[in-house]
Amino acid sequence: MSTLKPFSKIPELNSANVLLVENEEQFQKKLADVIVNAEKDVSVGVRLARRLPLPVENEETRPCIDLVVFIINLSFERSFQSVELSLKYVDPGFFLGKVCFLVTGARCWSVSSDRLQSVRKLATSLRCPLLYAEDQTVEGVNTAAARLLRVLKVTAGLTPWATGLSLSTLTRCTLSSDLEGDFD
Amino acid sequence: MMTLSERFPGFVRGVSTGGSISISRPGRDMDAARTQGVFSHLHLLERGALGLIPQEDPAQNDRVDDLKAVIHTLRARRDELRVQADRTRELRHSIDKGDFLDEEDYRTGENSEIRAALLTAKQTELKKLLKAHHLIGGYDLIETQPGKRFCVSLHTAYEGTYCTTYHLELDLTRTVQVVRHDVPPSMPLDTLVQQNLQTNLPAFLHSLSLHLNALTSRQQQIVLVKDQIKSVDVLESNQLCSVLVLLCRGPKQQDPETLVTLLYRDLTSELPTQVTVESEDDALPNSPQWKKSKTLLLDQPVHKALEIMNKTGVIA
Amino acid sequence: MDETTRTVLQRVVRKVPATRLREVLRTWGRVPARQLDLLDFSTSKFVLFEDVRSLCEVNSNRLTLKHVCELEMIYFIGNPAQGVWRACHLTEPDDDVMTVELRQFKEQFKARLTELISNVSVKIKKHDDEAVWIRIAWGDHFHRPNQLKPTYVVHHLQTPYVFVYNLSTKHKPLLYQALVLATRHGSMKDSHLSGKSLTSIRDFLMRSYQQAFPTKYARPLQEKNTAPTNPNIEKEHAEQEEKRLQLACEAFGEGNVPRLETATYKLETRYRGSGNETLNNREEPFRALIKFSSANLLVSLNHCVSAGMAETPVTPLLSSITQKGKNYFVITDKGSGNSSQSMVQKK
Repeated sequence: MSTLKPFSKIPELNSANVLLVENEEQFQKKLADVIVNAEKDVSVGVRLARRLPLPVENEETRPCIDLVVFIINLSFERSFQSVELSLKYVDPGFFLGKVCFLVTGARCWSVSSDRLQSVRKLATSLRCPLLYAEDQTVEGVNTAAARLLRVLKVTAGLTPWATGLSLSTLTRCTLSSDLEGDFD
Repeated sequence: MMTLSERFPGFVRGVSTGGSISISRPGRDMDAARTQGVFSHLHLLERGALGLIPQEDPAQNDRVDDLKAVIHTLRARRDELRVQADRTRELRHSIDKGDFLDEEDYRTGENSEIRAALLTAKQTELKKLLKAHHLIGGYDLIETQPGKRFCVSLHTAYEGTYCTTYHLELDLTRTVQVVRHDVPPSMPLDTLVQQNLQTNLPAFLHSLSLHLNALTSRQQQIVLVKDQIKSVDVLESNQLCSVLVLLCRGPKQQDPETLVTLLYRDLTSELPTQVTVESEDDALPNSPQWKKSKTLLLDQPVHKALEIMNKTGVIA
Repeated sequence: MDETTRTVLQRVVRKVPATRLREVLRTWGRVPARQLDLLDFSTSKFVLFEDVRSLCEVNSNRLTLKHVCELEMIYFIGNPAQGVWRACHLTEPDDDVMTVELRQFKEQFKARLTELISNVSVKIKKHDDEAVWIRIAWGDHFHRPNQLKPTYVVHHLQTPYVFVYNLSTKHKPLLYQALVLATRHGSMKDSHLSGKSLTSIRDFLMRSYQQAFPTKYARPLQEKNTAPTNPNIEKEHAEQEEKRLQLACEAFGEGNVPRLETATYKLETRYRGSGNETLNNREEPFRALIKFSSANLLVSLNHCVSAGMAETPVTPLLSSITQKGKNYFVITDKGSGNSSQSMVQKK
């Protein structure tokens, strides 16, 4: 039971590593395929996990993680619960710009809006960006992968004049004023 | 003189050319030649060349001493090995008995090498034994849930080839129970379970294995009959292969067709317990030929029996 | 040709798809193949029926009900997936149960059933794969057997399994008794298994599908070969994934599994949820019916477990579908305790 630390490993030159955490393991696979094939200039590594903590056996082979993405599928109640539990195993250092949330299934009519609200509250409380993605179409996956890749390059320090912290501060999730009241 | 000329060609040549005889050791030998004649001298020389006359050579004495020393060391080595062998035997004996965790020996580190080698040998032997056990149809046990459930594989074979493998998963929590299995449904598994699953697991597995192997044998026999004996039709059989109805034709065109029914009441056997022969010609089943065939069918696997019947002209 | 024969023939011609009718009629063998080839199978069923009827009358002047029933059976044996089949289980076998033989069974069954009910018509036919097919048309003291709604029974000799199609509760005890006596068993009971496909429920009950068992020896390579993955993608929980897959296959079979459509759980348990006072303190059990349905239930459940949507180890409520060979369960408080909580979210 070890927490995931941002600086426990030495980063390698011209490489970026992203950790995709999803309980359902469906969307992350599609995303991973697109991400590794889209980037040619730097070597991008993708680690797939169902939940945190990560297995201790892989500690040695695991590179320095530059970005942790929590994927929440709103169609499943467990998806959100699993992410909430996983968050305990993330080092606070990561929350300085190296964590983001990705929500799918928000368009589904059968999903109650409460679930989305609770995800938003969570993202706001952690000062993290919240991205929306469409997981059923190829274009949706491509778009989501492109956005993640851009964020990853920033957090890995591959984009000049930008840091993960500054980007995260600019894009972090905020709640509209009427909701903010009951959040506090 | 053959021996002499063969061994000492130069010497013989020396004699034949006449002139002065040059020999290696003149002195004493020459005197003997003068007193006893040439032949005896030559005889003496031959004996000397063959090494039959003891020679007092100082170099040879040294060699004897050397050899004596070698003998001495070899003897010592032998005694040493003898002691070691005794000790090994003793250790092996103790390992065979099972008390190979002798504390004292461990502490002193005595015999540790032999001990390790022996243990490895023992392990290899056991592994080979296990393999042999599998090969002759032992059971594979795998724990699926530690201490609770395990899975047994039962292999079946016919005439030296492996056929189907059946599995059983058993639960040990309270009483021994079969959780799931892929034994054919017609197999009287429930009866076998009631008989001795609780009391005697090896006996249960043995009887089940007997049943399954007999089933495989019967299945394979039917396959072989269909495959090898074209003139015989398999009219009826069942999943358990406990009934087999065959339609046999006589060797001649006008011979009546015969219905042979084999009943396998003993499910652990590959041989039928009852054979009935029916034919339009009422006399045929009682003919000596068919009477013989009946006993043949009871004694031999059905495809072999039919083959013999085919050869002896009972059936086509 | 009498009236009933006519009606049954008409029904068969109507029921069988035009594309298969030629083949079915050929197997039947009452009409010469040459004349069959001349028939136009693309016309309306009404015209077709008249054609077939006249052909039958020309060729076999005494076409009886028996022959037409045979035609129906031929079609039915070839296409058994037409309604709901139920499985039954014969229990308490006699000692000589293994010696039951087809001819004997036929005689015994017919005799027993006609003893029990006077107006009944029974037709027994053995199909290739060791199955005995029985067609029963039921009548009563005042009515002749109704040939239009026959009951079909499939039994494999020497096995305790019977599959029944279209059996009313009125005739159930009669059939059960006749079967029990003819097969030398003590009693017969419902297996709580039903499905649309006869072959599927038969394979399921007889366990003639591929079950996964743990073995010491590595499986053949092609089974383990998965699609090559990019070396840059690394799965952190690969081991668990494999284990889940194994557990799922052990619980629900692998490869081509029998097609089950539903699994029904009838709950008669006390409500144990928190917060709802009215439900919590009731004396009576909380009754509920939970139904899982899918085009292929076992594959769906397998997927749920292997994808991690359902918890591992697999709850006995789900794994007992394959272990007990049932798809209808009644859960009471005494039995497998908590019920609705352990049900998993179903895709």
